[in-house]
Amino acid sequence: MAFLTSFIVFLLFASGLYLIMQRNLFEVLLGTNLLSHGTNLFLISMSGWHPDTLPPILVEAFGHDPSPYVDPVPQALILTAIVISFGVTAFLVVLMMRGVEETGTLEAGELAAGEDEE
Amino acid sequence: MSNSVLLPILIPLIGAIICLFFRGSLKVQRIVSGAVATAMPFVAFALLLTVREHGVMVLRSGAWPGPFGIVFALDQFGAIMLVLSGIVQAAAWWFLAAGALDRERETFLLHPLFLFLCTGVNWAFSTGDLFNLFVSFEIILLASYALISHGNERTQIRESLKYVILNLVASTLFLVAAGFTYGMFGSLNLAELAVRFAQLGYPPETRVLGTLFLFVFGMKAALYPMFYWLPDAYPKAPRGISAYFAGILTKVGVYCLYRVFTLLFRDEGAFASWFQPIILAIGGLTMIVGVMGALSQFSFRRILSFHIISQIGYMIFGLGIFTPLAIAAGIFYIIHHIIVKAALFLVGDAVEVNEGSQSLRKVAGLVKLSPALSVFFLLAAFSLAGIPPLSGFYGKYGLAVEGYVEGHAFYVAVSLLTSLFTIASMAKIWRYSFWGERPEGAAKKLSNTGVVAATGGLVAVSVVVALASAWIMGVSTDAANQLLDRTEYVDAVLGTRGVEALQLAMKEPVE
Repeated sequence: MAFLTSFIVFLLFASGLYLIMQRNLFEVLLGTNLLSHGTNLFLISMSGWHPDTLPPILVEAFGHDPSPYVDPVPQALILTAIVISFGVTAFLVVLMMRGVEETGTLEAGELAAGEDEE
Repeated sequence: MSNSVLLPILIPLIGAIICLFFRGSLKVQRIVSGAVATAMPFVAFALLLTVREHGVMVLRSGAWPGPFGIVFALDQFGAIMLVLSGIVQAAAWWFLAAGALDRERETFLLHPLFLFLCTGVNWAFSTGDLFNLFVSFEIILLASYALISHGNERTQIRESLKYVILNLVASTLFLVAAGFTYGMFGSLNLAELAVRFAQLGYPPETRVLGTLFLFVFGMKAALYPMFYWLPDAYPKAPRGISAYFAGILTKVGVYCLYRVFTLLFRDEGAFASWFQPIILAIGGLTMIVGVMGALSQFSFRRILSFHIISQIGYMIFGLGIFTPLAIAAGIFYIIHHIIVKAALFLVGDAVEVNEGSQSLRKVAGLVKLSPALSVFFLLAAFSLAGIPPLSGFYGKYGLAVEGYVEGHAFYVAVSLLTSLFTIASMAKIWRYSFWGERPEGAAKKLSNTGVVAATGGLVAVSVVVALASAWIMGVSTDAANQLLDRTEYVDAVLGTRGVEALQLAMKEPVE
């Protein structure tokens, strides 16, 4: 399981970084999303989950021993991270729409032609 | 426990929310934003005095003990940064209120975005939790994304896109670094992490984490290989607010570097053999490459933006030497830099407001237009280069002496050379824009004196920094000692249990 998770994290990061380096803005957008998915999956793998762990609701039989439960903190981190990446993605989409209005294409290179004061 | 730690976060946040309710009315927005901007330096200064007198202030949310809840902890270094953030915010507001932007643009969400930016910055300076630091970074970033594209010009969209995507990658890495930290050490509380790192004897993983954090915060601070976004992005910020960008935003990254390297990665063997050479080399390269960039530019803001990079190098140099005096000089340098750099950006913006351009090729003869503005520029520029009676001298002097004593003579030489180039590029602005004849058909009088007055206010603060340098050096020294002797911070956050564990781990006698 740990191997599978880390492989998928690797895959998401690799394809995310590849897409971010593309010239097409929509692919860049997808790349950022893949990166944030990769991060979230990575974070959840830090919660020590394996098939025998229990949800973090105390069961009397185990007393105060924390070891049978999955760690809930990374899930809280991921919730925050998802909300943030949602906000950033929304902003990025609007920004790209403005870029499309300005140049008529999704090509990042077209924007470079803008006037610039030295 | 003290709730007043939250004041620097809550005041701008509430101000921003009130502004959002009055989206159509510039008057109300200016009054609310102005009230916040006026209050912030005083609130922050009161907090600084309290922290100096009573030690580190801590707020445990929900009264959860020690490492379990989310903790806000304000020490002297954090409080100093809050004061600076407040001062620059006030100057930027004054500049905006003098009519630096056209009404339509200023009405459209500018004040609330600026206040959200200040909220995030103040949050970063007072949090004691790694994940909260990430969240505050995201608040800063979202507000700054919107502010850089505010105005909706084609070049702004382009630079904003670059800035957003680069920072997205940096944020992703920050989250990964935080995740690694939690996965390996089981906590996100900075004080608790300091104790656990020491207890485990700084395993090799801490080097990996330290390098990751150096990369992540170095990206925000525009350190040598990761600086290229800054000179493109910062000049696109709205006039006035660009001073806050230039003064404060990169320094959030520097602040975090000072914080993590003094609190967490304190393994002396690893520091001497791994982090110190890297930090010093990056510091030296940042200085020289930044100033080289500045020499080749032909616009106020771009020259000044490259200077930001070059001066971040000095701050990092102070961290690299890592002695109490060097850290103190670094903190003094941060104080001086924030005020002076913001003042210089305001000079550039004041020129743009009055002349319609910041290009050295288009603006000339400013001495004839406004002697006051010329004096302000000269004071700030000399201060930046480190001419003795002005504030820049003391920080550079401290860094040079301490660097030489500690045997980093090469980097001291680099820093002195950088100062020389700094004055050269400032002389370039002076030569092209302030000297010479007024172009034909140019205005004979300033069309907006309010912005010049706002600039003068900030330059006056920088003169005060120079005059009060003895006291400020004392404050910086206290802050540096507090950073280096971690016990007070750990004691405030975790109580005696944490201090005892830390001292035991560091093999120091328990008092």
